[in-house]
Amino acid sequence: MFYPQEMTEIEIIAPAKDLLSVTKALSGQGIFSQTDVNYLNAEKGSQQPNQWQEKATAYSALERRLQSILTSLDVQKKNPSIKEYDSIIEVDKAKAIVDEVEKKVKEIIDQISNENKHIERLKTILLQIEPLVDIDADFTTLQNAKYIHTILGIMPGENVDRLKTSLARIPHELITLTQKQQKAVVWLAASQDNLDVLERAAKSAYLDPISLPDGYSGTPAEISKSVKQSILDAEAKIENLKEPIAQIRLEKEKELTELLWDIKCSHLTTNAILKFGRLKYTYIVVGWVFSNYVDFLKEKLKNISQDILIETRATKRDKDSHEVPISLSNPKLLRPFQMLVGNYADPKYSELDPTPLVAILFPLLFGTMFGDVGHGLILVLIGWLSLTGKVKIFKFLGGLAPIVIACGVMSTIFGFLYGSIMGFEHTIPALWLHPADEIMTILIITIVGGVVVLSLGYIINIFNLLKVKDWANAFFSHNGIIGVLLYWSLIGMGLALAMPQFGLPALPFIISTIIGVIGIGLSEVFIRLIEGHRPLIDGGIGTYIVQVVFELLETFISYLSNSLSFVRVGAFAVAHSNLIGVFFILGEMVDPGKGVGYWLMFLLGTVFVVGFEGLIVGIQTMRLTYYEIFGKFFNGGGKKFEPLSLRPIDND
Amino acid sequence: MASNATADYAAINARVRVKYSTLLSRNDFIALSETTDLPSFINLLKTTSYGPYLELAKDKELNARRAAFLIRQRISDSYHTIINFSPDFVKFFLLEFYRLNEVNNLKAVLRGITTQSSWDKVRFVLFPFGPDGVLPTQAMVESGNVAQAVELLRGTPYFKTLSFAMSRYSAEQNLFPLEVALDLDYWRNLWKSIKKLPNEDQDYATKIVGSLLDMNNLMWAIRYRVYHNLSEEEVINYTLPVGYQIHDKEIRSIAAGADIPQIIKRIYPDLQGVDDILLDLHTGLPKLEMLLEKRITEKCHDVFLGNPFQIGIPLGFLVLLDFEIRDLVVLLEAKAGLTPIEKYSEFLTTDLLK
Repeated sequence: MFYPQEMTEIEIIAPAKDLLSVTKALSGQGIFSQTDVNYLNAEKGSQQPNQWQEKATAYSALERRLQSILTSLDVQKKNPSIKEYDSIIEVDKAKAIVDEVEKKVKEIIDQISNENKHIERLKTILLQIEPLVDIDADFTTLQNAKYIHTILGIMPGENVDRLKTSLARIPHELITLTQKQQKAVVWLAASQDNLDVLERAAKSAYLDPISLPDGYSGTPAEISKSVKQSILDAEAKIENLKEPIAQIRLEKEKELTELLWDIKCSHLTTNAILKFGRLKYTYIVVGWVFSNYVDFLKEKLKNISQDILIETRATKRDKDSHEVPISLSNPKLLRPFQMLVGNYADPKYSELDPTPLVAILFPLLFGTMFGDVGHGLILVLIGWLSLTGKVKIFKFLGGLAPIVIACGVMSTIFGFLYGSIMGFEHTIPALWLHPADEIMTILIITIVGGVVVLSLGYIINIFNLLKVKDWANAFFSHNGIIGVLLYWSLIGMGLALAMPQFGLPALPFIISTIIGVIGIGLSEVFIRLIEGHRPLIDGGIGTYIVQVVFELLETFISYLSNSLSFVRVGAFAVAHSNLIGVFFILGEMVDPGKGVGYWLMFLLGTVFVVGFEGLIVGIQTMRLTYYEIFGKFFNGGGKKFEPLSLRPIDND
Repeated sequence: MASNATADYAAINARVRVKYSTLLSRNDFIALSETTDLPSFINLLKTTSYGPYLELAKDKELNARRAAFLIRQRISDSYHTIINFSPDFVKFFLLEFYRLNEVNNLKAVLRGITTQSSWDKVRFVLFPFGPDGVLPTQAMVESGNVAQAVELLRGTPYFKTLSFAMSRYSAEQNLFPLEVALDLDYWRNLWKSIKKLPNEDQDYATKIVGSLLDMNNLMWAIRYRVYHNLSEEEVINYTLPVGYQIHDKEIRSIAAGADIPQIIKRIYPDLQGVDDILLDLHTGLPKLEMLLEKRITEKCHDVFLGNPFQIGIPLGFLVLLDFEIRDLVVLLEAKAGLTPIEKYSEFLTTDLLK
């Protein structure tokens, strides 16, 4: 629970005959994450085609073809009926089915597609010919003039100016007839002597000359009329073609949907196999498995064949291992808080999982700032309604619902401690204190709390660094042992000097502060010394001294600001009790007799406080968690464990 | 405006300056080039800001192609950070700038189709967009057919551009018209989007993007004339009339057959050794391109001096990072092939033999 789940690296050498069974065994239960080792290939460089690569390509093509057929048939995407895919479907078998259906469907679909393309082409012709409808002359005569060469066509609107420039050295005429959606219809003319130049220029400007299909002749107006009629005819033809399509959909929908999932599954299987290493007669599978499932997986594989060789290597958490995938394994109650951690970063394999800490601190900080029995219970109710899905408007909370409930519970507890219910501060007795009446006390307590939380962060950081044997940073970094020593010494010295009534001796703290300052000042030297870097001081002693002075200044400021940052917890606790008080005053102004107006104002205040203030407190809690707490010890950068799954539904 | 710009650019300026400080120095490049083979090169590169990217694969998996693919993810990450933290009024422009990688991917995919390469080969030469990639690149490669691949682009801004060029592709069976159409459309749109920036930003963007466009335009014009023997009107139609230092007049002169070294010396009077480099235009052109890239590098470094609250800072960094990664890819390939420094140093933006 305190670390990502323990992983074991597994290497399996399986005979080719058992390949599919092994792949299937590994893909079940979500306990195995595959590593791509296709570079381990005995046939590397050989001209022999890889049969699995060919199969993967074939499945991909079949999947696309079938998808295209289903789209053409207007079949909606459906999840497969739950079933196990025991083997991959043979390419030839799947191809035969797809070919057969495609033959039936494709002919009609092709006709529809051709008709659509025909309509598109006719519309382009219409676009080109329409500007000429007022010219009362035969179009062919216009095109085949004796002394001039003309081109009527369509081109990208943005190329027109450039075309004009390119023809500057010859006499020519370029007229833009229309321009719609970046398509320009142009008429270009020049002397027959310059035919070559004209055609080269037109071609390089992507001018596509008009080409009238057979059967269209006459004046531009006549051609336009014929083209419009042809478009109507084509549209009617498409409508007729759609009827048999509906019939095929009715007959084949179920069969084709199942086939699609079969092909998808086979495609996933071949893709997984492509990541295996290949020897002459065997395959090498490498990946990561949860350590507590190693025996289970070994047994499962041995049940397939005794010829399978399995080697496992347990992975220690004593090094900064980037390549080990991580999977967090927190109890169900804590899992919603994993989302908060994941939002920041995924822990590395060797790093403590901060989820349990967040599960305690997040609601605690929220509750301290938002302590009210009534408001807390409202949050619990909202969270519960969102979780159960009973009220749609709260569904937006999604995975946050359990966190809202936890925060609501903690707010309720603090409500009892503060004696606050729905903003009424003196209706129930305070089991601890009224924040609004004891402002200094609550502010000091929250700073002390902050110091404790920060110290916890430093200690976890030191633990993490010691665990990965990063001695240099564990001892000498700002968040390491020397940093904590300086932090605690400064607090002790401050208390001893500012509050003599506590009777703390100042001298030991002064001495430890000096040690801390020297330690932090020389931290870079020590770190370079331990890590074996030379020179110990980079850039000269003068630069180094200046750097140390500023670093110390920055360290002091950050200790102070980090600790004081927790004042906001107390400040929000005070503000919370006062904020609803404002609405009580407004209520009395609206309705001094405390009638309907007063209670409406109270209701408005409650919505405002729970909605708006609750959101702000949530953001502040998140800020404290991410910046002040995580910033001290949590680096993240882990790679998520992605289990191998051959179920298309998991991968879609 | 100035005070607004300060507030708007404060966050991005700080972040980019941190990133800028992590760019490799000349000494780093010298150390990298002095490594004896690919594993030692990769080990040394792991100690730089590329370390976390190279850690994503095991040592034994790291060949030159895989390493190049991994380190390119740094530029993808940088675009993400920079675009996210940039003021809203420049986001559209940076996204447009980012799109260049998409255009390059598209060209690589089309080349992959015509050379009948498998997706497994093509994917490693593509810019790693990750979940941001919206183009159906895999489906395009697997379609095995340029026409079908273009059809898959329906609904994207590339479809219209390519559909105009498809009739020529069908007739010529050559990717040239498709690639030119993509390039021209991209750079024309990028140039237009500069005009939508605030005035001060326009100056910085024009300087950097204009210099990149100058280089491309010049290279296109010379290549079309020298390598492809295209006519004057074709060269003009395949180039753009805009830029920072190179304008339509110069492009038209090249297209019309004017003396290329003279034109280049007129545009860049301080550029040394142009005559020597261009004695043989065929071999000299890549060298000229590197000289121009070095000038752009200097311009990008210059924007970090003076007013820090402007678009030149993120833009300059992204160009520098792109050049740096390209240099590293050259080094990776050189180390994999055990190529001596004299043979690859002239293809680096970073001067190793100064």
